[in-house]
Amino acid sequence: MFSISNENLNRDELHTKLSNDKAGAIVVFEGWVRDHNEGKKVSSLEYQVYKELALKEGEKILQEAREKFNLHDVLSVHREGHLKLGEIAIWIGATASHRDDAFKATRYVIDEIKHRLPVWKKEHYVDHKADWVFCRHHSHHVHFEESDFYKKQTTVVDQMKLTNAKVLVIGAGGLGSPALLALASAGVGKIGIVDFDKIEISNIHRQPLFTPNLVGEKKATVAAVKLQELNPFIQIKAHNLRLDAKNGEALFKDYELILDCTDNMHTKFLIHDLCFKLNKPLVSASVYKEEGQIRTFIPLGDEGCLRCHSKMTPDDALLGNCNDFGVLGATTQVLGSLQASEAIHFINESKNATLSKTLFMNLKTLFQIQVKNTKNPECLICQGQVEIESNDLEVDLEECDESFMLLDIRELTDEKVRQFTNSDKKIALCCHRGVRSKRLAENLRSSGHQHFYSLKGGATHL
Amino acid sequence: MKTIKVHYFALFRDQAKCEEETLEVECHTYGDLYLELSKRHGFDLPPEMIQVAANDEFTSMKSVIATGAKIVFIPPVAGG
Repeated sequence: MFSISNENLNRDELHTKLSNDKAGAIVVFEGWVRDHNEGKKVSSLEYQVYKELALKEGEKILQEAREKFNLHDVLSVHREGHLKLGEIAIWIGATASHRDDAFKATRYVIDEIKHRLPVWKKEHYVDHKADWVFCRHHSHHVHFEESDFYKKQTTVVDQMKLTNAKVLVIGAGGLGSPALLALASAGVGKIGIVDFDKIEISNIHRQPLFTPNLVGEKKATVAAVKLQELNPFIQIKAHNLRLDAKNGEALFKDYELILDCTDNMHTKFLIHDLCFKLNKPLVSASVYKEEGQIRTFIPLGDEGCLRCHSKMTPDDALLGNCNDFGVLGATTQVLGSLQASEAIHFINESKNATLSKTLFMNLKTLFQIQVKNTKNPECLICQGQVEIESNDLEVDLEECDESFMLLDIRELTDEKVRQFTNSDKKIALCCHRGVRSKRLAENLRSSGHQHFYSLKGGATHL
Repeated sequence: MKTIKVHYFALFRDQAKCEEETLEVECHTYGDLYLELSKRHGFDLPPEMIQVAANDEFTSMKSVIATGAKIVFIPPVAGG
């Protein structure tokens, strides 16, 4: 039997389960959490498992071992969650009449599990920031030729260019799902996925990467697992974070093309400005009901930016998003696929159609117009002079200048705090320890009120 | 008087309750026109959030309206 456990494994208990008078041998394999990896000192590990699939695949592997070798029994447990050094990450035991079968079966099971199980490992280091490690060996079990995978598209695109491309997709939602599916199946060599959110039942109608059994799971992680399943020949990295000015700059450096698949104005402008600051091409799309628009930007090019002709300050509260106005999955899928298509052509030819013209289309009437992108020669952003206002959720007291108002929420209800949504000032919420204020500021920002902040550490920190 | 054609997208189409209209106008710039249309249709977005295109080309709100222009006011759209 194969199982997944979020508790420390008890080796004696597992051993007892395999007791059998007919068996002449037991071979046990234990995988442990070791204190180093690739030159870095590891302090602990975190395993995230795509459970539904892992359980099925694990059981399949044990069944294969039973068929290949002459066994009495075989048992395996994989851990999930947070593991300390020395803990057992995986336990496999096989019993047989003769030792050879038990040895071979155990070896077979661990190798197959390493290659096939959708398991994510996050390593926490002593001196470095924790990082998700994706085991590229997952693809080793695939007995297909990579060239066969792309056989029917190589007359249309230069596959080498796609294989060498590094694309960051921000937002794994309505636009991101179809964009990611198309990019991964086209064989873009390295794909990063940024999303801080979890899968919600009311969003699945426009997010074909997700299914109801995965509600509550992290979008970026699940997307990465599904895409890796779709195309084992590429490298995928999940970034479970909320994009801000600081982490954005570090993140964008590893990629050469950015896809904006987000659903709020504030993040769209942040992405746009970061791309112009860091000189990264950007394919951006948005939808409103049954309408969509898509445009490609090249910083330092001749086609201008979003702010060439107007200041364009974002205000989500005024505009609303998909949650407010409603949208069909079919609409976001067309626009998301179009983003991927434009990205692929851009990678292939360093230009595409939406670079020179913004496309607006109505998916109901099929009316569309293309507006020529023009550059204002005086635009500072187009000259690379970009100032990005930090909009980090958490602020220190020192950061709160006269543009801020400090609001003590310790004795205020959430409802009372919401009455400050029309304030002209930035509002730093202060609670006891900075936990409730952070959650509340996050909620308020999700409903479009970007001027809310949370005082780091709360009142106890002052 | 100039004859122009205005096409509406997204939020503007909802508020204007039509996809396009042909108008005779006396105002000078696209910005002036937007303010006039805001009054008429109840557009609530401030002009600094809007992009304008004339004859299928992005232009500035400060530009002078071209006779016979096909004009599109483009609200920022954020869904996804």
